Amino acid sequence: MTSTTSSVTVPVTYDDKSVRGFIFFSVFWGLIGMLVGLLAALQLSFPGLNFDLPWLTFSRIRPLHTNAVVFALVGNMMFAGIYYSTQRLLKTRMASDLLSKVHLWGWQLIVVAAAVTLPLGITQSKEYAELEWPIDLMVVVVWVAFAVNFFWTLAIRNERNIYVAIWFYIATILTVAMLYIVNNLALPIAGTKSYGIFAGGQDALTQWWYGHNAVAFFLTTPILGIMYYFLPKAAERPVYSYRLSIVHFWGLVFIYIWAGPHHLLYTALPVWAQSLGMLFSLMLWAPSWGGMLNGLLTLRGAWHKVRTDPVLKFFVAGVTFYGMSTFEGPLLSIKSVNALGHYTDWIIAHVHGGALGWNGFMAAGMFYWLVPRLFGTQLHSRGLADFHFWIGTFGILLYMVAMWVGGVTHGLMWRAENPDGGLTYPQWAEVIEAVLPMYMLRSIGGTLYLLGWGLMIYNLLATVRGRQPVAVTVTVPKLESTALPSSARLIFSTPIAISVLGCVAGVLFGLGNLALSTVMLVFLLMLVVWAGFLMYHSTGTGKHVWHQMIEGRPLAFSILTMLAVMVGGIVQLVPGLVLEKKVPLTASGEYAVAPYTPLELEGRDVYVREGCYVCHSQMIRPFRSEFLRYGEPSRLEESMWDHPFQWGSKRTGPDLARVGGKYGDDWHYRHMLNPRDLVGASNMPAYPWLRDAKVDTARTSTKLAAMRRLGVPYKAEEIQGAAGALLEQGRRIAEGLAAKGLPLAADSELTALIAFLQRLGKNAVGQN
Amino acid sequence: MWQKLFSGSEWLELPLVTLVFFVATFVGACLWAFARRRSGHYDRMARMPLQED
Repeated sequence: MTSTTSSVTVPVTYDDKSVRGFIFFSVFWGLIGMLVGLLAALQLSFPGLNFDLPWLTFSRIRPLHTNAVVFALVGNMMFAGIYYSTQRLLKTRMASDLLSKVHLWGWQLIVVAAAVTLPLGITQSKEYAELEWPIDLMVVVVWVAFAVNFFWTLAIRNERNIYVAIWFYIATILTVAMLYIVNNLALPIAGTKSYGIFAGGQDALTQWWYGHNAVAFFLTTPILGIMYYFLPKAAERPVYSYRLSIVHFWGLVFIYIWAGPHHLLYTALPVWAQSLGMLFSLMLWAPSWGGMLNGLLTLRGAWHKVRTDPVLKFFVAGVTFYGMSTFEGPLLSIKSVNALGHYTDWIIAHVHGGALGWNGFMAAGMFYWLVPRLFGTQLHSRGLADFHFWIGTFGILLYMVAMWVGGVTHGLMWRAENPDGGLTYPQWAEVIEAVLPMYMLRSIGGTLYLLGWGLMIYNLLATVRGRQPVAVTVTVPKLESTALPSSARLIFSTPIAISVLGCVAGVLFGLGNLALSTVMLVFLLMLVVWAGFLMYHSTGTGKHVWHQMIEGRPLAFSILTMLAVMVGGIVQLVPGLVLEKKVPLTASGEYAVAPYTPLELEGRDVYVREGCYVCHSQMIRPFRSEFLRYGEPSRLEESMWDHPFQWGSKRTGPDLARVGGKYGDDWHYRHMLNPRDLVGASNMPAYPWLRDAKVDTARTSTKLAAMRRLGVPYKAEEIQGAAGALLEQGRRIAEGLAAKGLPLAADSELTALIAFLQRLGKNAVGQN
Repeated sequence: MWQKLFSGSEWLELPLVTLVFFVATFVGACLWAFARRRSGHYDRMARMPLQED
């Protein structure tokens, strides 16, 4: 069953109150999030700016900054755009005012909970998924409320076919739900602490399947939907090519989900997964640029408006930054480029081009267009908005250029070798000192961008000052049900059969068997010819093509979208989940990689809580320069018991995978209390509070028991005697330090952290 | 026979053939997307955001 419009009309009053609420919070949280980002950036130049306060320290506030910008600024902006455009494109009010309120206020509650817990060190330490399990549950509840409201609205729509913007919203809602739930599967051990069910390489793969696609389906697809609605509105021109938008949508949602492993190139992740990540990242160039061109070409015949309209300026620059970011992303996924850029500030440049340029400018353009209309007035000052645009653009470019230079400098210095084969820059301090000017330039660029944001806030407030919101009521033809092809018939149809056969053939092609690959290639060629033939004969005026029918069936459309995004996840994640963990054994039959001792496990939790992974990796890549600097490349089994993995993604400090035994306990003691006592140029924060804080030994056995439930081979007696073993190991460390005049309690958090650091890399090599 | 054929050949051209195939698919998709043939449905959908609020 489907529907058609009738001569009966119905009045529709749009719910713009929710839209105004989301805009307000996006602007407000954006200001907070960027202020925190600026403070974090300044701390890299002036590490004393944490004032030795744990909750103000870089490693804790950097996740706060990223979460605030991603989920609070972009999240609220996305919801505002979705609520406004969905109602107008479907010609109906949102289905439930109550669910809209639950969504609006529930999301702000989540943001507040994140703002409180992250500085307190309550974290899962997985990037963009730091929030602990109670907040994760809140996210799920609020997201379900949003989804129910959205799909309910689709069900009561008064427009038969769903516009491309709605497709992107559907993909966002479904995929984010899938990603978030899978990546946050965890075993709680307390109200503020849990261990993820995945470990080591599997955790890394799952995390970056999530992390990369948080960028894809939270920061990209909804904003593309917003682009497809608001850009034509602002330009007063139809979308350049609707067919291109079809290719853009299906190409993007299918390919994006595979690209996660490009965050793990040259790590211990199996090579096949790395190759898939790189290959699909390169393929992303096509749909991404197709979408960008579709956006920019929508302005054909209206480019003169860009000169005078600040809204179009922001949109054009935003879409251009999207093009730049989606060019740079695949570029960085090429393994040889990644070898230079990974772990460096180049990645920071890349993500800020996307966040500030694409997300931030699309948000600003949308707000400047939307807010005056919501209040039935004109923008207070176009000149001020223009100034915001130019100062923001300059700020982004300054930021990105500084980080590009800093990143490439880092990459080159790390690998530089003398003619005698030694490292040219063996001291980490030399590397840090070289980029300090770039860190300052970055802070200046960020400040300019933030200043622009502040001007926007003033401009919007001046626009709405003294005005009442406008209630928009329209009369639309009511959509009535008539008989059309069922969802099942549309799903089990020729285009789907061709797509499925193409996927299967593609997988078989990639298995590595030459004969099979050749046969599959010929088969794929035949499929493409067949598809082209069918498309040629089904396209033209008056012909009802398959895609046109699927656009009128949200259920079928949603199912197909879900299938398209699930394929990549299943192929990449399932093999690791179903294969038995094979931890090598030593000649004496022991595990080559022993589980952490109770004290080391507690120290690891301190490491996670303080966010050490923000600046330190634990993954030595198989390069000569890394071997010289850090030691043997990391092996997959070495993190087999790590819930969560700590491979990291950025090296503001050196890799720690084999730091165990490199320095004495006293060195770590002094270094943690004040890094600059030992390394004058260090920009690492001091962690003096760790010395006085005590490990909660009453909880240690619970932690070991939880780990055992997750598959870590602790024996029952080890769990029972965890507290005693912890104190015994701590006492040995404390006695050694006391002998050097450094007093430290056996159950101090610093003792535990030292034990953990000294353990890193101390694994036997397996015999099997 | 197939086994004999493939075992005796390194088929170094396979990646090139694959590349040509993917480029051809890409070009085909572009031709379809940018084709001048008009469709009333797509034209109407492209104008949907321009309808009055």
